[in-house]
This record gives sequence, C-alpha cells and structure tokens, in this order.
Amino acid sequence: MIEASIWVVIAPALAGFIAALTGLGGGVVMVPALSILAGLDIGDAIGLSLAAIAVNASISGARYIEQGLVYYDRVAIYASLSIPGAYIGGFVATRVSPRLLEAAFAVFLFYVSLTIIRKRDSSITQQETIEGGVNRAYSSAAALGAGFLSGLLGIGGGTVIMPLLTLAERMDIKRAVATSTVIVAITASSGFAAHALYVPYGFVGLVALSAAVGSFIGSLIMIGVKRSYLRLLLAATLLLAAVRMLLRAMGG
Amino acid sequence: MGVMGWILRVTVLYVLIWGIASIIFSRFNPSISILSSIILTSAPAVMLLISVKRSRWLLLPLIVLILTITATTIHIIYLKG
Repeated sequence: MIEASIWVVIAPALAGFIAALTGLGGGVVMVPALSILAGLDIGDAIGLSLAAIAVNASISGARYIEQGLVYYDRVAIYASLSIPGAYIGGFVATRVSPRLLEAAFAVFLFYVSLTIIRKRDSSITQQETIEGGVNRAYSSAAALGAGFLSGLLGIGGGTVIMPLLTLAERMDIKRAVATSTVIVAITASSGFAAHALYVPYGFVGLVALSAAVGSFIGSLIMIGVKRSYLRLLLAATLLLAAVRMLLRAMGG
Repeated sequence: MGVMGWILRVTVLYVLIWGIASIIFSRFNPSISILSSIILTSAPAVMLLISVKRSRWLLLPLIVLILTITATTIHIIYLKG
C-alpha cells in the first residue's frame, strides 16, 4: 500500500517531465503507471491523468509562450477541431470495435518513431514552419482527423498531433513540442469533463502538484536540451505508446 | 520571472484549493462536486488562453473549450439526475 502511494506521486512527476520534453501530454506514461503500479482502477487512472495533464500542460505551455515558441494559428486550428473530432471518435468507438484500427495505428507509430530517429538534424530539426506557409485547410483536416483518432482509440491527442506537426507539417521539434503542449492543455481540459464522474477527488491535488513539479523541471530543461535528444525521447515514448496499443489490440 | 512567479503562485494556490475542495466535495450534492471539479481542472488552460493578449487566434479554442465543457457538464449532471 505504501508502494502504491509512492507511485501516485512518482508517476505524475515522471509523466509531467516527459510530457514537457515531448509534447505528448503524458497519459502514455501516467495511465499504465497509475493503474498497474499504483493499483488504481483504469477509469480513475484516466480521469486523474487528464486532470494532471490539463494542469501540467498549462504550466509548460505558459513557459513556452513566454519563450515565443508557440504557433498560435496551429493551436487555434488543432485545439478547436480536434475537440469535436474526439467527440465524434468517441461516439463511433461505442459502435465499432477499434481493435484492427488500434493495431494499424500501432504499426503507424512504429514507423513514425523510426522516421523520427532516422531523420538527420539538417532535414527535420532545422526546418522551420513559416507562418502561413502550410495550407491551413490541410491543417484543419489533419486536426479533425487527429481528434477523431484520439477519441476512437482512447489515446491522448499529443500522440497523434506530434507526428503530424514534426513530420507532416515539418515543424522544428522545439516549436512542435511547445505548440503541441498548449493544444494538449486545451484538449485534456475538455476531455476531463467527460471523465469527471470517475475521478477520486482526494488524489487530484497530489497528482496535479506532482505533475506540475515534473512539468516545471521539464519545461526548464527543454529550452536548452539538444534537438537530437528531444527526438530520441519523443521516438522512445511513441514506441512505448505503440507497444501498449498493440498489446491492447491483441487483447492484452 | 514574471510569468514563472505567476505559474508558481497559481500552482500552489491551485493545489490548496483542490485539497480543500476534495474534503468539501464529499459533503455536497454530486452535481456540485462534478461542476466544481470541471471548473478547477479547466481553469489553468482557460487562464493560459486569456493571458495571451498577443494573438486573437487563441479566442477560437477558448470559445470551443468553454462550449464543450458547458455542454458536457450539463449532459453529465442531467445523466446523474
């Protein structure tokens, strides 16, 4: 029981730290850690995870906005369209079995991870998205699709948005992390509302504080860390998400 | 240091509020608990969007966030009876 309590503190801090460095939100680390290691019910773990992500992404996001790393137009497009997309995805998920799609998306995440690892600095990290340079109609379609997938597959928006920003929109990795973090702050806040019934309120303050500390440290480090290290961490976290999704698709 | 100080103050205040709220929630109607928890959780993101005055782009996600949260809250409270 004591070990379980420790994990309620450690898991959100670790997730917040990784989230601030990768722009993924942190649910991929926090949900399994809270449900498996801390022994919480999966519904409680998801609700707590969303609450913690909403807080820590806002903290990291404020830091990134201060640094001028965030593309506001992408935040507007992705956050505004991925929220209704997620609701449609969640609605469809109650009517179809998404296992095949989960397996397909896991394979896609494997591919994305390998692509991110293999990209050289000259090709991905030094490319800057020029404001307005990418077609906003394309971004809008991608945002709706990202929201739909996250709602259908029950995964955090960051897992879909980060590959889109870094690979499809060819955004610099630091700007992609910063922009994705602000988007995730908004989508997690919206997503929490749907899980508000299942949250153990006594834990929220502790989880939010722990995640905030991890997120705060992560956002301080992210500004100065080498882009190649950020890429590796992002690829490793996406691989973890892919393995988890594949296991779930196989009924594990 | 302005923004960082603001973040730290809000974080400490936020956790204190949640600590008190978690005790009070057990004594109130579930609908009030749900509504309060949703407001508390979405407050940082709303404050973040409001605090950035440099871009009108952020007005759109702010409106969408408030609308979806309101709709979901009403739906949940309605289901809860």
